[in-house]
Amino acid sequence: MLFRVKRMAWNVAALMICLVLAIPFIWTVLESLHGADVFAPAFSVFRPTLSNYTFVFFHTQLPRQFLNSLIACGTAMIVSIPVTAMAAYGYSRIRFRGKRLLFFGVLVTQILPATALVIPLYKVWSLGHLFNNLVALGVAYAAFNMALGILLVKNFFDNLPMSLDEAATLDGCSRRQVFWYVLRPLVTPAIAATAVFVFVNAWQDYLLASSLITNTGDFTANVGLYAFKGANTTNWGAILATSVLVSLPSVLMFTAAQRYFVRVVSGGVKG
Amino acid sequence: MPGDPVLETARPGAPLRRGAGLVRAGFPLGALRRGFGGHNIAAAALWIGPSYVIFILIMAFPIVWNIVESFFASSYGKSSFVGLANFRQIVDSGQFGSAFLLTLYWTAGVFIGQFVLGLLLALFFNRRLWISRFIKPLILIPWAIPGIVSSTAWTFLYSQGGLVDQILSPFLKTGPAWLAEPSLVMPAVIVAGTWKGAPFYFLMFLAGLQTIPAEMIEAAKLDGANRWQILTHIELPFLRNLIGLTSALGLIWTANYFDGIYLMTGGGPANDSTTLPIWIYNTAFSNFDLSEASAMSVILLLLVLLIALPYLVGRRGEDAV
Repeated sequence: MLFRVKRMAWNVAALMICLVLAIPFIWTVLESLHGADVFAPAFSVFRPTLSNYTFVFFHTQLPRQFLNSLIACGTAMIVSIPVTAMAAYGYSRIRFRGKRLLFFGVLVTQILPATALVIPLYKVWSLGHLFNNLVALGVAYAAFNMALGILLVKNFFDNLPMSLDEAATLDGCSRRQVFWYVLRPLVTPAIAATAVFVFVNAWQDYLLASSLITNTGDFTANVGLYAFKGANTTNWGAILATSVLVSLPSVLMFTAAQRYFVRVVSGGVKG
Repeated sequence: MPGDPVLETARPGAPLRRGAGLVRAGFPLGALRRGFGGHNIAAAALWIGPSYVIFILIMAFPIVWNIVESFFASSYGKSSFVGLANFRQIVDSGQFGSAFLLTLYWTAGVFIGQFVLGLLLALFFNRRLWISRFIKPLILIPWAIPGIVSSTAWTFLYSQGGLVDQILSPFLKTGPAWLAEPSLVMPAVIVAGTWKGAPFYFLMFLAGLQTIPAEMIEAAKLDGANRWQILTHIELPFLRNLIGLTSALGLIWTANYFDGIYLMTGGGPANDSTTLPIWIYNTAFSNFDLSEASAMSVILLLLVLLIALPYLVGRRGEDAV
């Protein structure tokens, strides 16, 4: 009996902790349902309304900017997945001079902060007339997130026995066929996880998009939200509703792929 | 690979002929084990090349180009070599010291906050609770939402008459302007930054704690160890490597975290929350001084590499290629 009460208490405590930690976000969601008057006393009569959301949808540029974000982040995913998988295969299965050095280079790209690269990228972008190009922005996102993917997928390759390659090669497979028909299906979970993380990381970006996109119509959702916040400082209802909408894709995808996360970051945890 | 007698026999897409390559070339199993032997530079270029094309285009080339440019000053489209003048201007401006100290303040504050909060959460959730499965996503929300959203949410909480003021109303009659008061702005953004990043430490530490054998803890308990002793003598030493990795990544990310401050304060009031990344951004995009901003970027990059080098060198050994 005492044991049960204790167990119950732990669960309740856990729930309380999580709720307290989530307050800033829960608060944002609740207030966004308040209609225009978000500063009404916290626990007065609460009649949820979607008016803020319909306003955002029909009277702001958010739908278009959301689409822009999808284009940039989708590009990042599409570019980085094959490139990441191939590089991971290379580091795991090919022996060549300079491999350690090249792999070290990959680790360096993982710690290069976007803040130190904004100005260099800005210059290269003006050199190549790439401003407002969402695909180019997506390629930049890919570059910043490939290291994580390479580490994760390489790790999966490392855990597949070489005898698989040997057997397939004995059967006459070329390297490309070994990769495509034998190994690729086995590392699909790692590739899927990489895709999710590239997307989520790219979706979080403000810095690159704000300096490489200058045209309001080409803003990503995050930049659009900041601009809207600056121009409509009092329309908190719409600002908060936009915040909730902008969070949805990354929160959903991150929650789904959360268990891969530690493996991706620590890189060394054998799976 | 092209030119490789063993591997070139079967073309991609062609039906697999059993042992074809083997019969023709005499199969070098040893070479395969060592990684196919032979024409490996070509193979490496083919498989690893594409990733390096992107790294070079988006990172190496811009960085090198930027370093070169940092020795030039441009005005009205003409650029002239000025040597270290840009760097001297930065050091002389007097703002470098302040931005550097604020970066340290911010990094130390957020790092300690996230580390402690993440560790406490991990210790709490390192037990079997049926509810964990359903509520864990709640803990991870701050980490998953874009920085602009957490900044907006916190700006809202800190606003006049917002939730923070309401909660503190028994103690403070009128809430201060949290983000406009020089002495309060840094603590305020540090709290928000701690909230945003703590889930990362939580996830890493929890994963680590779960690898500690239960017998070790049991044995210590039988020997009469208390909770604190178990933490300091078993759990933390066991997690030493993980803590090192997490802290190294966390420190670099935090020091360079732009969204967490800029999107709440823009670096203000005055320059009281202008850390190095924000200073660079404002110099380039508010003052339109690209030459100075590029010299700042070079300095920031050097600082990051200096801090990260021990981690990178250590990491190379672990990931042994």
